[in-house]
Amino acid sequence: MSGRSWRNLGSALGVAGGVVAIGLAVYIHSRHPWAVGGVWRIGGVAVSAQRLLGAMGLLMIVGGLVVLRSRTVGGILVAAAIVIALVLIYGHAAFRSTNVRVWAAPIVLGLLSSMCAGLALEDEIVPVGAEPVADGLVTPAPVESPPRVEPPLA
Amino acid sequence: MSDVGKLLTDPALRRVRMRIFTAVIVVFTLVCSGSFGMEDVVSSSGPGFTILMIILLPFVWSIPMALVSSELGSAIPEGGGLFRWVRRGLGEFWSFQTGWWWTMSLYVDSAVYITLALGYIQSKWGFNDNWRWLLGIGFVAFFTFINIRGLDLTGKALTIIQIIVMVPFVALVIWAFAKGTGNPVSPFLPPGVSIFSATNLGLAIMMWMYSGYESMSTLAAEVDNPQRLIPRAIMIAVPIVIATYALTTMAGIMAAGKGNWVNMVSDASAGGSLVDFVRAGQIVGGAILMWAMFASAIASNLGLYAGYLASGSRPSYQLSRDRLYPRFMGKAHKRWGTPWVAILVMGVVDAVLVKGTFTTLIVIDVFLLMFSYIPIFIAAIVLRVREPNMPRPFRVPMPTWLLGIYVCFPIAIAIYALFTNGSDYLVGGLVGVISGPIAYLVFKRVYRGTADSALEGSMVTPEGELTSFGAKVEAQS
Repeated sequence: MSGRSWRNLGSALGVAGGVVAIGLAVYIHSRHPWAVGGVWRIGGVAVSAQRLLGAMGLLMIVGGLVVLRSRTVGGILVAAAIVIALVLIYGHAAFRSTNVRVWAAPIVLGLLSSMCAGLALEDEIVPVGAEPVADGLVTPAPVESPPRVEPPLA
Repeated sequence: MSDVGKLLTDPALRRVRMRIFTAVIVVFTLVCSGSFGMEDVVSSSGPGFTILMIILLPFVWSIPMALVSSELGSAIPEGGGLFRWVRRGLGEFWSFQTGWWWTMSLYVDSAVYITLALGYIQSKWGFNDNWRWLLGIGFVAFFTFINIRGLDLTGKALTIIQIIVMVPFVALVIWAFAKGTGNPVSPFLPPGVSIFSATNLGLAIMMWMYSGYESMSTLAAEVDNPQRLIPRAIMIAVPIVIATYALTTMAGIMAAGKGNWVNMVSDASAGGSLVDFVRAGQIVGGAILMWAMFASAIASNLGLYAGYLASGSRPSYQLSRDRLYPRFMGKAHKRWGTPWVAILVMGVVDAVLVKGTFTTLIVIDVFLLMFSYIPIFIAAIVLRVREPNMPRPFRVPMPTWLLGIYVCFPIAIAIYALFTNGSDYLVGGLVGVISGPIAYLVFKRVYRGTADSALEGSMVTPEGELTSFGAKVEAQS
């Protein structure tokens, strides 16, 4: 797969992960508020588990879209959402197993998204010691057009 | 020549002539270094089942890794070892992930061994935590210097350490087989425990005990004739490790006494009826064997630390030379020809980690090591298919399709273990895993990486021809 394909796939997976997370948050909030537990305190603000799921979903969607523009920043945004979620899940031992099940799909999609962003970067940055290649994403060296030959007069 | 050109073409590491005996000692240290820790498997999985696992598990877990490491190590005997194998098979991204996960795992792992050694000493002499930390820093500084000084000195140090580790174990085996009253294979399982539960309880520890055959590959750039030395050392070490675990565990159970296997634990410092290898030595051999086993336990952990400091620091050096890591990590010592900055950084991290208990980091550690194994197995199969004619001085005597099936066993075991260790391991481990893509995204953007055709210390070109460096190494052998 080319760097461009990995980038598009990474973006799609990041957005999909975010959509699934928000969907799960809305569903759980409306139907099974007891399915996930724990209150997360972020900077002194208490956030319910469902709202955090939604917020991280939003971050993943933004990250997924940014991947199209910058593989590094987009991939890190998606990965950051997963890391925040995992750290907070780890910190709430009583609800850990339940939260792992709820978060499983967004985490897997987000992990794959950041890996695809990495694979895109592998192909798209010209490494030291290599000649620049024109693959559509790396800017090729300017090619001089042949000199224009004027038709002879008369 | 420009700085970049010089960096890419001038291998700065010094190769040392290592005898096969020393190489076997290094592999033995990295995988086994005594049987401390096996006591927990006995009490949780039962004597008979433990012995059965010791004999059977290698065939589906460690022997595949030993074979694959030997084949890849002989075909691609380059600095960084496993990191370069995966690069050749799966590309830069996956090689970085493998190198990162493996190295991060070893950073924590090596600190654990110092902590365990300090635990043994503290339980005997009971000094306070500040003295404990100072002693830990002393151990770290000592072995860091030995490692920076060169692989020849590290090899000698490991040989002395393994003599201190294994002589008491040999004495324990002789004494326990002569005087022990416990039955080493009965009962087969603990009462009321199913085979499934016994497997889950023992598998994680046993996988850990049989890991490490890939580790010496990272030293390939610093020994003469690595393509022959390292595979031979691994193949010789495999049966020695199995025999060591089987005989010493049987001896431990016999020494513990009839029915006392239920009280076997890896740390019996609490006293009472608890039995570890040190106490087992006391039961059958008196105070002399107890003190010898005590010294063996400390030496075992220090040996593991020295070994993992050597192998764990090399991927960082190679990642830096391949322009995927901070530049300062790629400096080699002008006189001793060792990656001194990478070794020193690892030593400093360990000196800090020794201060705490770092339980959370250990949770991450297991997951990272298992994750780094999977790309190695996949790379072996990919290279068999894509480069069937690549010179392989050691070739696993199996057709590619059979090797493909064979490596599915350790991959399946690794994945199974990831999900059966508990949700704390799963969640903590995933945090460690996601750190790999994040690190790659940052470092690749900053340092750009190196083209396959310009890799420093590469033996073979991407087209399968020997490089001038490769030809020089071949000529030496």
